[in-house]
Amino acid sequence: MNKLILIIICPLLLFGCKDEFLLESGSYKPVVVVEGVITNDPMPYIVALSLSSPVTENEKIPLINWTVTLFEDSISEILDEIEPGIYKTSENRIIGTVGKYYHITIQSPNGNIYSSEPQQMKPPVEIESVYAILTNRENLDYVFGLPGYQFYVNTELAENQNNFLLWQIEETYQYTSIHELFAIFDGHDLRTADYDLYNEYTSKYRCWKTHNVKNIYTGKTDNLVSPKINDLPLHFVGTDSRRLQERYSILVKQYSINEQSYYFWKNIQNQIEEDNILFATQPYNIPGNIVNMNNPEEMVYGNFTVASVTEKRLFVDAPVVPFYYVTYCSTIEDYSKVVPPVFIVVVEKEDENSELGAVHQACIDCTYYGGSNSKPDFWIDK
Amino acid sequence: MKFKLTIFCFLFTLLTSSLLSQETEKKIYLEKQNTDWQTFFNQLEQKHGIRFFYNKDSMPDITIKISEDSLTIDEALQNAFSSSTIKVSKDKFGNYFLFSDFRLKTALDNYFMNRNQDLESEEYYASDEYLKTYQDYISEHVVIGSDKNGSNKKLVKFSGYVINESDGTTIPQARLKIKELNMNIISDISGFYQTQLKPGNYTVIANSLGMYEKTYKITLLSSGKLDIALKTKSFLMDEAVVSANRNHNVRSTTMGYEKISSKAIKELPVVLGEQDIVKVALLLPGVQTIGEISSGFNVRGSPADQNMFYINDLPVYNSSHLFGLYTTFNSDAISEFDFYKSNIPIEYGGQLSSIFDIKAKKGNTEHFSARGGIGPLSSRALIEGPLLNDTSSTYLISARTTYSDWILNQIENVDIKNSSASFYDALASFSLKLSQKDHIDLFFYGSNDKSDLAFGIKNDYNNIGGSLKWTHIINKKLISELSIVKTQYDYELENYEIAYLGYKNSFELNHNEAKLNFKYFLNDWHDVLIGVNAKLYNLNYGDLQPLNELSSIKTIEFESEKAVSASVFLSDKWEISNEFSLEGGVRATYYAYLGPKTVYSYDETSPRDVNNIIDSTSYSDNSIISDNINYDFRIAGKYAFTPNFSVKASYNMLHQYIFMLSNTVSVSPTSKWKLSDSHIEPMSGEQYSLGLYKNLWNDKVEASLEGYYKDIKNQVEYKDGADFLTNQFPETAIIQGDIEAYGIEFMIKKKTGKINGWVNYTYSKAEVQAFNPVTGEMNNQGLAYPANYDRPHAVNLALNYKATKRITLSANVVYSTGRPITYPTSLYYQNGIQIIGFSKRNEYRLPDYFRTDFSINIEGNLKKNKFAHSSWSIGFYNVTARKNPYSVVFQNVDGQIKGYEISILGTIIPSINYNLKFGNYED
Repeated sequence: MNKLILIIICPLLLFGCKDEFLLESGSYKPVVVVEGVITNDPMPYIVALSLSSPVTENEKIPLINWTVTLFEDSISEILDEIEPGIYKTSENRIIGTVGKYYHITIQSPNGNIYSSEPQQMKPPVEIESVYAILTNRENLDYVFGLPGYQFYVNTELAENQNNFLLWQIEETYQYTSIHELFAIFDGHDLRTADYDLYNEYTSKYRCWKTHNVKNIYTGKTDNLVSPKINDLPLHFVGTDSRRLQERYSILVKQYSINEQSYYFWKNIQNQIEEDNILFATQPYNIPGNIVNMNNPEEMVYGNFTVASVTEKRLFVDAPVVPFYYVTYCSTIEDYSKVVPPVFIVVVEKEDENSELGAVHQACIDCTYYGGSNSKPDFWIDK
Repeated sequence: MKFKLTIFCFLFTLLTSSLLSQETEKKIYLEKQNTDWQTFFNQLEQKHGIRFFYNKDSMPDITIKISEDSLTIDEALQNAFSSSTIKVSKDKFGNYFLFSDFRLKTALDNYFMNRNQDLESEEYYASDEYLKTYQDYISEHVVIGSDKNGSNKKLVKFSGYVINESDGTTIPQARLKIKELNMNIISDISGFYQTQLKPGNYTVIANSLGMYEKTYKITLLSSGKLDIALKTKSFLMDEAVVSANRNHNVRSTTMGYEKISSKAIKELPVVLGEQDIVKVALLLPGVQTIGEISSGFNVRGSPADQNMFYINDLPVYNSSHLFGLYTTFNSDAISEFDFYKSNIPIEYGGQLSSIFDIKAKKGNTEHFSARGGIGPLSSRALIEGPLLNDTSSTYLISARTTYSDWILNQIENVDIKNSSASFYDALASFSLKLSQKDHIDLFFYGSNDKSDLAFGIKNDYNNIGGSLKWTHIINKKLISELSIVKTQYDYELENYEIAYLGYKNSFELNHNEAKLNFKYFLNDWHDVLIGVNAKLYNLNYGDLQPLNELSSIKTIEFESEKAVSASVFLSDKWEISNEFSLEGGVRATYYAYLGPKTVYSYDETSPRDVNNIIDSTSYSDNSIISDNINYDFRIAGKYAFTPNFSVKASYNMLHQYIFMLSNTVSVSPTSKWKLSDSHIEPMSGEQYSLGLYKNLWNDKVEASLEGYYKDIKNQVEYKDGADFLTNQFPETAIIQGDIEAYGIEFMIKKKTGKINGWVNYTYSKAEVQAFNPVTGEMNNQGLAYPANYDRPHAVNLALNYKATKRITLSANVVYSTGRPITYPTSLYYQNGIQIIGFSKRNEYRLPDYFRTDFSINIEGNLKKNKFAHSSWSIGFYNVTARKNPYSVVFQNVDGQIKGYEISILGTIIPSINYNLKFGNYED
């Protein structure tokens, strides 16, 4: 709510009220962090153990040589530490099954035993649809708002009244480098189609990039008239990045979890989305479900989540709206001095006369933006 | 005419001699001479005691030439000034008045009598001195009683009312000095005074803040009454800023108390064009706030819901406009407020920390009058006058509204354009004098705030209420006051940020109260107050309903709450001797929490949680769910080492039965209130105070040093992440804990003179601990943590400088330690998202707060009789444009935690206000 108030009050009083500052390392005390999920997907399950890091550092501090045991009802399996702090189940010993109970225990090298409460894997709730609406989002940097897609999810009517749901989103987008390669100057001549290097870089014009949306979404149905969620807002993708340049896809994973895990993730969502600048709630450490059995007072971060999962994919094409990402590459004036190969592109001039220009590799190579030029298997073209 | 009149006049002795000498109209003949007018006047003054009054600035350079003998003064002056614009007039005592453009008709009005001595800050006092003597001469001689009744009595009663001559209102805290006995009597809250004297002749000097002193010679023969009418000073520039009467600070038993007049409010720098009583309060020691936007403030380590605003006995449960930027009281309509933070009078029960007792102005008894003001965000208007041509009854109606909507519409941003925020408030006060012994005050108050924020939150809240007070003088020793109060605070909230969760909810708090007080002035040494008080609370939490067809939420029904409280109280002020006085009180309160309600019982040894409900009981309407009797105590004592130096100590014990449900750091304007119930014990607070009070320089400067220790039990704290919106079991979101607060407050005030104001320093601590050892519920691992508003060091400076009679400059300087915050100390990941691990609660602090405000007030001309008076207030808030951090937020931007400092009003904010009033400056 208060983001709104802030937006009203700020311009009214003509001041910039929000200034970023660098976090200072305060009284850092490392805390054990547990990160783990078991789902009904037949895949190895990962439990990651680390120590929380100081705010000025971004590195995870892995906890090595701990013993992680996964329990399914009365069956148990000790996980392998496949890399420092990453513990993995074997391929086909315990496979998550709806209705069964799961929990983990973790033993530290000095003998502390941490454990989660056994939780039942809830039946999945199906996704009815995922859709996007083109909208104009308020944004202090864009006077007329930032256009983009707001994504929503609808669930199917669930069988039970009380469902606790968590959504995670994997996004993939197709984009291009700023310029398409016209020719390569090899030191003597301009080379095109018959030149290997030319072909290699031409194929780097279009890329696909996949990563997780850095937010999570939660919803529950116990407070709804019927156990069906309509139009739950997921993330927003604006035209301030290359995401919507050509084609954009999301894979929405919907997890059906139990109430305790729901509140854990809900708290995380609240922390991520905290924009209640004026009337902010008191900050607090988010309690998870891992307890040190030897010392219950010890603070442990993180949660072991038991979930059944369903998913749905959606593709959207570039909207016809203004885009605000950088589409300019400066040309190199005297490319005779550049060590070949020199990348030559057609530069459009304002007077509509185009000319050739030399540019840096980043201008013609989409992998510079972190994507891959091989099309993912799931990708469906327009 | 330029109004800075520096009028020459002599001291009393000269005056009287001149009066006597001039009675015979003897002619004075002048010798030949050729001098400048000043020398000429001086000669005459010295030789003949003739007084000249003139405005130094408007006097032309004129040489008085006396070329022939036996010229009279009149003739000489006439000759000298005939060519200039100066008109010479003379009164019947032979005093000469020289003014440009107009001739004086009769004797001067009092306010012209400023002594022309370069006393700088003494100027206004000096004028008072003069007036005193002037009035002395014409003082009334009154014979009270008769020989027959008084002859064989040792002591007789002498009593009456002190009233304001201009509007007939009574003047509380006026001082009557019996000169011969060097004894002071102070009028009580209804303006009544009473004492016992031996029959005889006395000189009674009456004075009060903002009034001309008046002297009576009385011959007291037997018990009798003298009503004293004091005249308002036409120039209020020289008025004391704080405090009703000069000796109060040292003499009374009251501690932690301030009385602030509307004048003091007027003189403060304005922010966004509004003068605000809470802004004044924040400059007092021991008063803190979380930040610029907060619907509340904190007094001596207490949360905001332990303060209460009363306006003419009416409690106001939400005193903030526009998200807390403004207070819901129009300062034009306020005559003064009393602020108690230590020994709260026994007639108030229910708030642990402080009472803001605001008195609305009473209407003008003489004639219709109107005033108004135009500011950058709001405008206000006020009308007043006698009611039905009956001079003893008056009305006053004021209203204020904003045009912030219009401003929002001018902003280009789509969402802002589509948002709206507005407020208004209004009050009406009727004062009816039914007879000499019966007085009725009828008061209505209302405020409204509306906001519709384009992204999906609509909010509308109201205060509305009325009070009726009947004051009846049973006899000279006994006054009864019967008050009936009804007030309602309600709001409606609509949220459609997320369509499928769209909801609307309403809240309504009804407060009904009746109280009957008896003030019994037993004798010179005892003032007794006895009273009963009954309150009925009805709290309706509404239902959480789906907002529209897009919403798929289930309606959540919230049960309403009802409680009654009944109190009896008794207090006595006991003046044991001039040096030593005591004040004590006890208040017994019966509190009952009533049905209809379903009450859940929880497993006593586990955290109170919906899953731990073991039973539920349904109570029918008005059946008692839980009840208790609590006793509040007040004890205060004063010992005066000298008339200007005293030590005071007090102890208070109070209980509070209603509190605010809020899990935000600063109080949001849509917090609900909740009654103490069978799960939630009433909060109790004890405060011990000790203070030293010293007045310096003839009471012109007051200094005080107060220390306090406060211990609050059953403080309601909220579990981390508590949600009150959908929670039907609020007791599950609450932990009852303790607050321990202590501090020392040092204050120096200069109340009068060209430069006046105050400076104070406070050292304080407030710590909260929320831990229930039985259920294991706790916040912050059960450890004590600083309260959100804990600011150990605070310095406030408020200064006024009267540059001229029409121009006043004011400045505030505010410094305090930054408020505590919970700070990220580590980071961790879940699902690739960075999450913050926080420090212990409030372990860190924001940077220090520092702000300077400045304003200039320009009055229109100060002629006494004119159609309208106008003034301009130009204010600059935060002149150093320091970005004081209001809070820090830590936000996850694409998976990375970033810290942001939020500053509110972090730049210099100018504002201008135009005020207009029909009639003269006099207030």
